[in-house]
Amino acid sequence: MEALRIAFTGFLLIAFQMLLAPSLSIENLVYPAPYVLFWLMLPFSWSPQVIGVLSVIYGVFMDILFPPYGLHTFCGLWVVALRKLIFRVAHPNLPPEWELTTSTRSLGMGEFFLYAFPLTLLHHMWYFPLAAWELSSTVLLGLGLSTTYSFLWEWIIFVVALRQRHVRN
Amino acid sequence: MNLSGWLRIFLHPIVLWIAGQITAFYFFLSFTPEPKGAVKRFFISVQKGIHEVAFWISSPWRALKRVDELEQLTAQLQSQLSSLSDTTAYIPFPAGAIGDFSAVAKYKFLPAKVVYQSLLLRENYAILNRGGRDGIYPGLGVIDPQGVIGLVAETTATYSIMYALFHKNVHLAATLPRHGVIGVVGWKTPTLNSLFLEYIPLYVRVEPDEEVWTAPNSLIFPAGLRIGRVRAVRSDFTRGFHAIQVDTYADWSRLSGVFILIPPS
Repeated sequence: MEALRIAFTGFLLIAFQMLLAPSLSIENLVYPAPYVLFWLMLPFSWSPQVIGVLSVIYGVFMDILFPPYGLHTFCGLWVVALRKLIFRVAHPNLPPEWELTTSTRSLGMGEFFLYAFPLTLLHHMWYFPLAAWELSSTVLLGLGLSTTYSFLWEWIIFVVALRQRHVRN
Repeated sequence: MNLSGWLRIFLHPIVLWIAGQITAFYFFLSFTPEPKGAVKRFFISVQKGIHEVAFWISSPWRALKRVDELEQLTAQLQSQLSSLSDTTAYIPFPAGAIGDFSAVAKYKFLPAKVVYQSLLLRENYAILNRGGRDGIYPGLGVIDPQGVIGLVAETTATYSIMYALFHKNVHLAATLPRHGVIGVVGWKTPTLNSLFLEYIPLYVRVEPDEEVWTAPNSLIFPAGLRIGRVRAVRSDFTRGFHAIQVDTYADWSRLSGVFILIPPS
């Protein structure tokens, strides 16, 4: 069931990126990239190998559909590599077996912000300068605005489609 | 180590992650124009650096060899000089490469050193130790003491990349000075020092050993520079032109000093 849900999430995010993101973007300034949410929503309890393979498959799909080729996978694997670390930094009092007991779908609003925003920023910090192949003030402005905008859409998708209903805010 | 040990290493999350990152970044660098160009420029700079160091290390040996060559050349020139009745001028440019002096008189000949050259590519090139600071820019012709050798394709401040005549995309307007007809030379065979001269009409009677010069309508070279000699003539009756094999005067495998032709400003 969890696997089906993850596959649905991937499909939903790719569809969003294909159909809605172009019309929601402001050219050369803001580009929504909530597809990062797939890597964020992968369960912590799954084995690193499975997570790695799924991340690469999703990244390859993104690369095939959206140039520049290879960059989505490259940036996504950074998110996958650092997401547990970020989660632990944001939640210092986690129990020893937190990976088995914590679900990405059961995060509260504040928890989701502390977890998703830094990782979205990390993804965009790789993605935007490399895609533009420069580090100008325009790119940095676009990076900051797009991170905020992407997170906004991640939050909306998380709340509307992915979050468990019984979780407190 | 047995198979399961290797599998355990290869399936380790960190190894998988690094493999995925390297593959993804390789695709990014290979299929995106700007990074691809930057990587190419970086490797050419590294290549140039390595060859300059190698050139510097080997310079004493090459200098000794050059002394021998110069001694022989001096002896040869002295013997030639003794046979001439009057010698009035020193020639400061590669006279051997020039068939007709009238068109090249206003050009400046800038000596350059070949830092690196490719030998086995379909797009052969050489790196020259002259760049934008010396007044070099893309599109200038390059000759060696024997004849035309290529053209400057890219420049940085300190070095230039010269596309050789033996580059699949380099074509030059050429003429057979005996007849005054104009054709195009290009490199089609994988054999170095051999070109094809095309578009010479069938009514022209081309003989082996005829000279091939740069044509007056060339946008890169002045007219009258030596390119090579006709080796064989094949008549292509389906196209109405000769297909002429030309042996170049310049020897790509023995390239050393070259001259960049700078036109009058």
